[in-house]
Amino acid sequence: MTYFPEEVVEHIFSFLPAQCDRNTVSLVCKVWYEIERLSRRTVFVGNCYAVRPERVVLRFPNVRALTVKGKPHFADFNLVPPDWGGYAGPWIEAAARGCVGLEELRMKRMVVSDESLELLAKSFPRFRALVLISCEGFSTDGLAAIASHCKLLRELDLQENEVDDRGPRWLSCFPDSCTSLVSLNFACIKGEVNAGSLERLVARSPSLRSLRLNRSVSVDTLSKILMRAPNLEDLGTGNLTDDFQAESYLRLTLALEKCKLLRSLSGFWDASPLCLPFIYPVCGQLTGLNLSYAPTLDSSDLTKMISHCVKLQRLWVSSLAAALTLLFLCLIKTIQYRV
Amino acid sequence: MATREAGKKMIMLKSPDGMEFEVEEAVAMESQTIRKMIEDDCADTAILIPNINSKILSRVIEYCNKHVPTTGATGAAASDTVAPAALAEDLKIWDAEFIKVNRATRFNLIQAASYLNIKGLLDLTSQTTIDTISDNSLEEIRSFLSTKNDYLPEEEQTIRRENQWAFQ
Repeated sequence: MTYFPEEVVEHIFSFLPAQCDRNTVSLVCKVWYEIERLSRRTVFVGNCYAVRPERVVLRFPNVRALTVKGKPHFADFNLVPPDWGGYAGPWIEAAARGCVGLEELRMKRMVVSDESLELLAKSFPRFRALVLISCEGFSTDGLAAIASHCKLLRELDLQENEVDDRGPRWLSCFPDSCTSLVSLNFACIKGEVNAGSLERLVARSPSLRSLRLNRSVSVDTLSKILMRAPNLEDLGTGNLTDDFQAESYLRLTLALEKCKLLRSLSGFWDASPLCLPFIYPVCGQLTGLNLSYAPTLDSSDLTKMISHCVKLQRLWVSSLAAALTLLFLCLIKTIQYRV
Repeated sequence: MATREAGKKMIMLKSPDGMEFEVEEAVAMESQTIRKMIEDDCADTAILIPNINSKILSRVIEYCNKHVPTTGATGAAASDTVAPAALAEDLKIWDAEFIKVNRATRFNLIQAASYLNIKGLLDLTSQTTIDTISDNSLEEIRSFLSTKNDYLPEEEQTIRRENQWAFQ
């Protein structure tokens, strides 16, 4: 098939999304290796020490979406020494030198410095998605750099990271021209965020589908945000505390009911059992419910809530005890659950 | 040689082996290459399609005839009464039958689709080729494509190892 023009072979390769299939065609002959490496847009590196970053950039200079995984899984249980490595810096530096077309970066269990985030923010003009899972080493200053410079950002997903909090400024750094957000998750940020900045950001993001707030966001702010984001499909609530005021929660119910597309709920930080009935009206439309951050709710609260979730398919809970208590419900409704 | 027949503009396509095919302009314009020629007024006489023999060209025309949009004044394959979903399903079945050809014919169709710039046909033929690649081992792919392995054994080994270690 080497007599095909290269663009035809490249077009054929565009039907090969799986990395393993692309690996196979790279071994067929040298011409195919060249065409494949130059046209690979998605690269997944399962272990950051299996290959040097410079090598990845050299082989796949046109990569658009890069995923790199660092420390092994048991790092989640503090079983990896702190100086193990897994540094994001060399990856971001190599990409900044060799593939400025990078649009998406996903990293898991890596050490990411603020300097690296700053370099990332300034190096890739078309950058649009940053996903950091179980990473550490950075502060809200690094996030401020991302917010300030990545004008086309669609996705900022921060899951379970250790983030040094340097105040609420970072969220205000999204410029007024940033209207492209589809997904924003800052549930792991410990500090306050500015309610006004958050509300304005949501209001100018018509494509926003997924929003996961942190525990600093109050019920009143949440209600205001929801009124501005009627197309939300996935919501992580702010805190739903004991500081119970019926009017606030009635407003929340009204706002939630406007979100007709809402399918998935998480958050429930410091949730008081008293506030749960105000969530019930949307429970009937949910297919996913994550209760793993809700230690304040006991199993009778959860059971009551779940009994309203008639369409539930996925349920996350934090402990085995909670899981067992809820198991009979899971069996009855044949829902899929995860601990 | 643009002529008129029953209100439809006709175009003459010529293959290098001397065969001539008269087709409706809308059908010919499924090919972006031919569309450009027509729009640039380069299509007064018959359009010679180089490198595509009459056997392949007739198959390509058959494909275009089936896929030409029904909204135009062409009144091709489908009637207005059929629902779009059913129409798409019908096309899919037709495509699956159409592409049941031997390897040489399929490769020729890929080349023709590429030269004539017919995206649907190129996608169809490419997808079919990819299905073959996904289901077979490296050696089978090489023999199926009559491609020579020009790697030295150690070169192949290096890439194989990098693929396995880093990119699996």
